[in-house]
Amino acid sequence: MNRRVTSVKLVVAGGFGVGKTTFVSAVSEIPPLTTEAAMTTESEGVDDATHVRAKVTTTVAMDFGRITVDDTLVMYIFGTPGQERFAFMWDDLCDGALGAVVLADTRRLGDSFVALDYFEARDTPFVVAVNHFDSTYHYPIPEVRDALGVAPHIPVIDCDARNRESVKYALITLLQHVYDLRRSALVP
Amino acid sequence: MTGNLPPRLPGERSAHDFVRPFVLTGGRTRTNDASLHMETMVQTVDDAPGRLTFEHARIVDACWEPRSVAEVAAEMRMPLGVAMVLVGDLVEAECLEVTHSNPVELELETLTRMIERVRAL
Repeated sequence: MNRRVTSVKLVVAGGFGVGKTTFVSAVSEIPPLTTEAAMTTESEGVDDATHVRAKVTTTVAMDFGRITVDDTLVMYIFGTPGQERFAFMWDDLCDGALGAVVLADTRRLGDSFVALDYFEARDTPFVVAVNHFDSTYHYPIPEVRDALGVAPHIPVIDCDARNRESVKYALITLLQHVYDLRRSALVP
Repeated sequence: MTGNLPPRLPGERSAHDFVRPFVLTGGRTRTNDASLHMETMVQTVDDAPGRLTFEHARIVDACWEPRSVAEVAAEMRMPLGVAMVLVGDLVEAECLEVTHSNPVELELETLTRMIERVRAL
């Protein structure tokens, strides 16, 4: 007799090199797995010899980790492909996601705007975690919040993606945020 | 023409080593089962019919314990889209059983369980 196991998907988004895979590794019970999405795209140029657009196969790697909640429930945490040119992957990745953590780097805050815009437009619940690198100046959270221009009810927190407790706190903040949104929808 | 190719260093890969990913699916790039997502859980049924292709059989063997389509892809080292098509075939053939999850239907109590689990990590 098979036991029924359902899954919940969370997404970690942010710019290239912001620490998404490190974040996933910090809490995953397995070393992060990599899955590749193969795609065929038309190449930019036109092949002169044939006047047919050549097709090029490229792959996008997505890292994900797993947390078993209990016998019936598993959580998966997927990192979005960082580069903006892979943004088309985001629909597949974010369809059915419970919520997202947007990892931001204060040296390149602009890199997180794509993710913020995306989740806001889709009404996907999200929180912002400001990943601190040793060399970076720690901007106070209110300043970062202003710079990002996120709504007042969206949690913005400090994070160290290398630190398990810190990443746990970021996930709990997201789950609690989803909980609060659901609850306030239930109790008008 | 092959004779004119430059000699290859040991371990060097050439374009001739490349296998188009969707060869394994007979060129199909989309699964028939639109309800499959990368996080959808699948599990092999006890009386899975025999006589499967090599790749299908590998997936059936790997799924005695429930796992997501994304895990199947990672373990089989196949692109997600390929795994999606092959898993879709196996669901259609009643070799794999699917458990769908809809985050919209997730109960508050389940969220509480998740929070407690993460806290206990």
